[in-house]
Amino acid sequence: MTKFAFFVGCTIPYRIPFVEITLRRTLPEFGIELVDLPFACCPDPGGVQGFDSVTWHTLAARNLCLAEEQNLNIVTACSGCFETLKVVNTHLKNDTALKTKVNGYLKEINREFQGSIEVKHFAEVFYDDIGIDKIAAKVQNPLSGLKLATHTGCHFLKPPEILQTDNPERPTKLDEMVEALGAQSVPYLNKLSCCGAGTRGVNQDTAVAMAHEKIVGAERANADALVTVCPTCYVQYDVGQRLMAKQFEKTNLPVFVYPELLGLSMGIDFSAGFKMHTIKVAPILEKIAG
Amino acid sequence: MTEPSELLEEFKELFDIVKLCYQCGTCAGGCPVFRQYTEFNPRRVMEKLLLGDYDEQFIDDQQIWYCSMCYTCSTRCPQGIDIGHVITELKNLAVKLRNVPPGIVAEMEAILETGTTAAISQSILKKRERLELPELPKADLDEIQKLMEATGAVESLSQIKEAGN
Repeated sequence: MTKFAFFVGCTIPYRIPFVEITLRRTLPEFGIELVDLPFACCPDPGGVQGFDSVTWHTLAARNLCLAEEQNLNIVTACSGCFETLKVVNTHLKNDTALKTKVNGYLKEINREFQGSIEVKHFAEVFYDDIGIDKIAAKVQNPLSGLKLATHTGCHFLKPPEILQTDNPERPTKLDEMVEALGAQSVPYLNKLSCCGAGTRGVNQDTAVAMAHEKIVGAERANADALVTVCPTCYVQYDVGQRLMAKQFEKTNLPVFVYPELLGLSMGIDFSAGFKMHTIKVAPILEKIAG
Repeated sequence: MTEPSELLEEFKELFDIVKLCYQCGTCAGGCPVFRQYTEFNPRRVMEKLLLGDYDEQFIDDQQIWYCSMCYTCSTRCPQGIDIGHVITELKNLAVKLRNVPPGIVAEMEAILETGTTAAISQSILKKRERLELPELPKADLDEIQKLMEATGAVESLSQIKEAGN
């Protein structure tokens, strides 16, 4: 077993916990052991970094210290957490002045950033560590005939020089990951565009319009569902379709986070969680059952 | 309160990057916020900085908070300017001038008081139980508060509150 400190974040455990269970059930099937630590908010790469970059680095460094003290690399369930922790980890490893400053604050709580661990997103663990072949080998119920619009999301990809996950302008890993499950990834309009969550707090109408443009693009491409690797994008697209219906014509596109579909194809029962989606996923389950 | 002139000294280093901008508009062309809401235009943000229109930019104008932080502009800028980073720096300066949207203040306060940005309701805890999810270890709030005091975030928050923002 490869052990990771599991950074589950805020959105998943306390808003869409049915996504958390899919990671806790699928990763161990591939030899990954998850360890829970008393982490706080990552914190949010938009709001907290915007408020004060030094506070953002310091609070993130505390989380990194907790994993360092256990000699564990971190795997994140959330793309926002991934961006924060990987960017701060990289900054502190390479900027001695910043590291000294942050360690000065960490001294107040008897901790010290060392720079001894790595941070990974769960999608990197699936794609880069486990690999497409091993994922495909676990598939018992192929998602044949299912057309999926993939949305990788910004915080998994950018800033690319630090995150180094996939091509930021033409990502393909998620497409390969869904095709390993037997589904088809379909091209659609504005595939690379942002979900809009980052502007939701100050400008909800714009945030809704941004997500709506993507849902419409996916529907026009005859996608059966949209799939992402980010919980915040998921909330924008799934829960967001209710808000979209107030501004635009109603849409009805089921939305998934990747490990839900992986588990489904592996024959793991996630039916309790599927009932917690806003847009009903029953038509997809029926289609797969054939 | 910190005076604008003092803050602009801090900003000089950033201006060395900003001055490379030749206003091609690639940032605006790729900006997903701009496509839906033309009031937010990253090229205009850069233009204001080039023109030295600091007061409007830092104090009166809340447009910088509309950025969704997708970094498409930073990825595509032909001059290699990390525009997302420039906007983050502008936000940090705006906070020092107490020009910050209430949602951001609420988020900072939530982290200070609970260690998380999520509201942990009884119904969500029941949902976790139904899904057979483990109870998560709680963060040491004393540590979070000490760190936020040390960096000055607590002081900023109380000043913003005093100013009635």
